Amino acid sequence: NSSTCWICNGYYGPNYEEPLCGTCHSFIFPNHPQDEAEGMVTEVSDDEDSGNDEPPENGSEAKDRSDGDPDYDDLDRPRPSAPRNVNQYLEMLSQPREADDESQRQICALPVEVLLSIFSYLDDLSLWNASEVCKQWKRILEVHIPQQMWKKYTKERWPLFQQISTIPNWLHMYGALMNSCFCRTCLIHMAHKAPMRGRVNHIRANRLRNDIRSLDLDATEGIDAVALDNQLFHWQASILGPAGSPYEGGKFFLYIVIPCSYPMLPPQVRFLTKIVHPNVSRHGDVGIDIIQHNWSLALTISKLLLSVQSLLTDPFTQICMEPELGRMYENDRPKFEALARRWTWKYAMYEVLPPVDGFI
Amino acid sequence: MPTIKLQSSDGEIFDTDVQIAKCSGTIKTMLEDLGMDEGDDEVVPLPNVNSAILRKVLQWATFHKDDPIPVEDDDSKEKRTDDISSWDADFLKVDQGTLFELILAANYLDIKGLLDVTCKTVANMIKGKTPEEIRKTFNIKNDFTPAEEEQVRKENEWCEEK
Repeated sequence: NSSTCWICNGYYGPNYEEPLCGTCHSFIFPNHPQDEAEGMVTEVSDDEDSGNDEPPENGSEAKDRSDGDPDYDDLDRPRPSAPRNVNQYLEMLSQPREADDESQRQICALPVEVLLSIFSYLDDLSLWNASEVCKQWKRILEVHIPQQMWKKYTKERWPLFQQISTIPNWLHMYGALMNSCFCRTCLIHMAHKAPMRGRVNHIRANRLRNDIRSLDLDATEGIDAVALDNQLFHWQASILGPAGSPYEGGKFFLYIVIPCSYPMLPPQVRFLTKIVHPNVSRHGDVGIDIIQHNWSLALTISKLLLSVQSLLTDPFTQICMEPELGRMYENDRPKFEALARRWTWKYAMYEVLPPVDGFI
Repeated sequence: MPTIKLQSSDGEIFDTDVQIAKCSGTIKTMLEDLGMDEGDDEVVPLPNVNSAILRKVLQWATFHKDDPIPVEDDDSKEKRTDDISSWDADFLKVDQGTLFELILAANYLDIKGLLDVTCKTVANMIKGKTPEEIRKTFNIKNDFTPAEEEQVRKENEWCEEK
């Protein structure tokens, strides 16, 4: 039971620890089915099925009567009165009331229907962020946003995510994948569709066509990449953790940006999925020479991904993105591998281990 | 121009053009269903709207009285939030309390245009923000328990795990 009515969110009055406030209850669950048919008459009926929350005491009452013992007359209680019907509530609501304290006027005091109308303007990422603001919003979004929508957006945002097992809750799946990433801003970037540009760079287009072909050939190596927009600017890639490394069993998502002047300039590569690695910064950037000064026209997207994959097996500790992790790798290998493995299990295994019930 | 009298929750009476008052679906229905005649000196009580907010609502309705009737929402159409007119944007440069009061009033009075534009304004305040930022923006209390939050909040730094 929450602190406000879950239908109107306290707009129509306090709920006194009940799930619904009186007004909403009277509207949604009218006392009698006839109420509406008969123009919402307010008379109290003896109908057993009065919709009261408290069971009426007429059961014991009848039993007392049948005993015929006059001594019990004192114990006779008046019948519980029927809850106010919607007309009475409306009358109460239309009485002028004290002006509400300004400070009380908060976004959380808006009725659920209005919050939903606000939420209807939010994209999936903002909506998911909103679901983590407070319990009330989380509940509203869990109840009112269909699982199908979260499923659709999980697949749209994570085209390389493969559904292997049944997903009990797509909102949790969506949230888990998003939370497994280093940077929320990068996610927003990745979701952003680049505007159409007039001029087509034919060298780039031809080159990327070849890249896509070679990706298909190298698919067996546990790497994959797919363009997210028509302009082929934003790509999502995935790398399977190499066998024998602490990353084994994990699937790591990467974000690749192919610049306009590719292949003259190297692509940018960034890990989306959190990973503990000396050559990956805490923002996911990969420190690998071939995308910096050693870029060569002979390299392709699939070769690049294969290099990153082999970097997972053999970190290059002379130059590190995270020197502390480099030192740990050199001096305390078991500790490093345990940490890397723990992160792999925590963030990179959602395909085989969908997030369990409850909070993400 | 026929007028009607609208009474706010704190008792102030607003003499209003019927055409402007009929922006509100609630008032329109009331006038049509109850057969209130336009010449009557009847006062329409609006117990959920105070005078300050009603004044703003009427200001909005006066400016928008010649707007075409909004069509029913088409779900297939993408919902945009960047199409707020500059007059509306200026009109809605108010504190959050007033903004929420306007939303409640638009909802109660069933003024679709005003409800849409106010909801869009709030949606724009949410968009692209992290949960904590949203909490700060609207002064929302984080009511996840530490255990739940531990689940929600993922550490950004591997250093924390040392």
